[in-house]
Amino acid sequence: MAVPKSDSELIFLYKKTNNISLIGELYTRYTSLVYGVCLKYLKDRDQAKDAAMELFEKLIETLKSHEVENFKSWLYVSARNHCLMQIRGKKGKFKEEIEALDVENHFILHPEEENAPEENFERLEECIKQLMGGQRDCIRLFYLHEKCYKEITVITGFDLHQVKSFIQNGKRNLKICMDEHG
Amino acid sequence: MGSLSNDIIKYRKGELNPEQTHALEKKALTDPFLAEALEGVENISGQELDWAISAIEKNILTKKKINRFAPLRIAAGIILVVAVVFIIYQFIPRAETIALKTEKQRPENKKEEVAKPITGSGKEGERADGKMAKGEGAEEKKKKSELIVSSTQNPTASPKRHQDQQPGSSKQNSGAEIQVEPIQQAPVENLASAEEQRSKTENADVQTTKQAVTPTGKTAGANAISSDQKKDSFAASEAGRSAAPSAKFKSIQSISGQVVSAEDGLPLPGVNIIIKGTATSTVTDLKGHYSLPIETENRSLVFSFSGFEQQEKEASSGNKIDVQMKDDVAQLSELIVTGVRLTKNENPEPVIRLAEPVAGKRAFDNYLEQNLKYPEEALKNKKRGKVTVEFKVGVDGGFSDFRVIKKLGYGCEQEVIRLVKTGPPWTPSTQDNKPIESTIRIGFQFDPLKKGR
Repeated sequence: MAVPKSDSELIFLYKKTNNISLIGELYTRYTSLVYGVCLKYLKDRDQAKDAAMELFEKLIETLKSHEVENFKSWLYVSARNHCLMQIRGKKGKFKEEIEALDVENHFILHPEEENAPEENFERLEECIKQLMGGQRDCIRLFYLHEKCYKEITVITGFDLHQVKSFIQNGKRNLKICMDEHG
Repeated sequence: MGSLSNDIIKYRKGELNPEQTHALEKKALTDPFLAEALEGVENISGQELDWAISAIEKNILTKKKINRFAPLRIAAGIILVVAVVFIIYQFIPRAETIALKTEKQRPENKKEEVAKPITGSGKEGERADGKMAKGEGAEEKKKKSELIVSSTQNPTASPKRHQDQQPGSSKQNSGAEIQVEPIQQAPVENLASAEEQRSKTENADVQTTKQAVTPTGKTAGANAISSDQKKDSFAASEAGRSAAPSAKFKSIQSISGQVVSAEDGLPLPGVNIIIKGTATSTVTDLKGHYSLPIETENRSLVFSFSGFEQQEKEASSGNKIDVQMKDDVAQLSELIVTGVRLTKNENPEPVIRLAEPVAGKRAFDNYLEQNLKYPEEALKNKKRGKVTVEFKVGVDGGFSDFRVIKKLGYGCEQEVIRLVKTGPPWTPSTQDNKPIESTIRIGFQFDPLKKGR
């Protein structure tokens, strides 16, 4: 990122100075992400916009008192919780989803290491060969040829959703395969 | 690569090159936050996303400012409110104190008036001169006070000057002059009183001068006293007048009255009365009486009642307003009651009675159950279920066109058809008591357990 200060540095400074513009700077790094997540859950542009604003206000308060190690993950969980709470407030359910979310937090707070599938190419090639046709092609194009989804749809003729699910499932299968042999 | 937030917007807009797109998509696979965000923004076009994000960010930035200056703004707001309240309080009591002052001033004037005839000093008169110069008719008064001053200072000069102004008063004595002075003094002291009073006092002035001229000193004195009394009453009326407008500011008046019909003079109950421009309204009681609280004057009351002309009355004209409502011919004629005449149904629906077994449905059911021979195959297979059969009942009651609607198999259908054919006769369906051909559908439940019983 081209921004000089890291997230945790900004939070640290904010706690020291109480300067809200620091939080503004921090938040605008993720505005689209928060908005996107809110839009996904609330499915309404205005509501998502309001939610994004509310989250920012919440941030101003909570960052004063809370210790936040990984701001991005924390923001993600807060955004999701906020949206789910809002939905629950409206419909009177979704409690389960929020409980399920807490379990997931563990995973989110410790995101898997990137590029793991590329560590060992030999083993990887073998595993890729074992994959099903669509998954194999997509994984090859995506990871080895570094094509984006759109390009893959043009090359393979699958539609965007198919490509996405092939890559996601293929990646999971690859990981299982790699773990077995590793 | 810019911030992740911008990349999403660019991604959605299609502004990223394939490599950047790939990088973002790859990131999304390991970053659920990004993945969900990308999923979310699929519902919105790139341009709209851009707008939405910049709107949010703009809001956040303004929020910052508001928050920073919030204490100052609140303080400024409080000060403003306090100032406004202070000003309002300043104004309201002022209106009252004007009234009080005029009342207070009155006795003071009296004292001075009493004091002056005794001293009769020339300086007082001169001071009065200066103040009076601005007022209307000041010229005339100036002359008079000059006369007075000169008369007190130099009694011998007075008759001459008096003759200039009032030729008839040749035999004037100084006693009368002294009595006149306080009358003239009054308007000067009582600056608050209006010009109206001034002119009135002036009138009184002239009157008393005239009176003072003709009789002797003693009677002149008596007259002066009576003019004093007059002046008192002026002051009193002035006080009353200045007090009246002050009531305008806050007093809540009650307006009441009666609404009657102009035609026969009978009270009208239920007439709606509303203070124009407000939501305050009421309706008249059974005797046509009403009463409304009204805050400010010069508001008008609107009287309306269905079938009568709407009327508007100025509320300031008194606190009792009686109204006569006139018939509104136009309004009455607008009320038209319409009705739709229902035409009698000349051709009622034809009465249809469906065909049924002669002995009745119940008897037929019994017959079916008693005479049913459960097909062996079906019994062996413990086949159970419903068979529905359709057939036509002719005009003569004969059966034809048997059709199986719901099949069970193993000859169950045939058994039902056999039972119907060999069973009791049916009366045909009728339309208006005429037999017609009709299609009948019957269902029969096959149950091996039942049969076993």
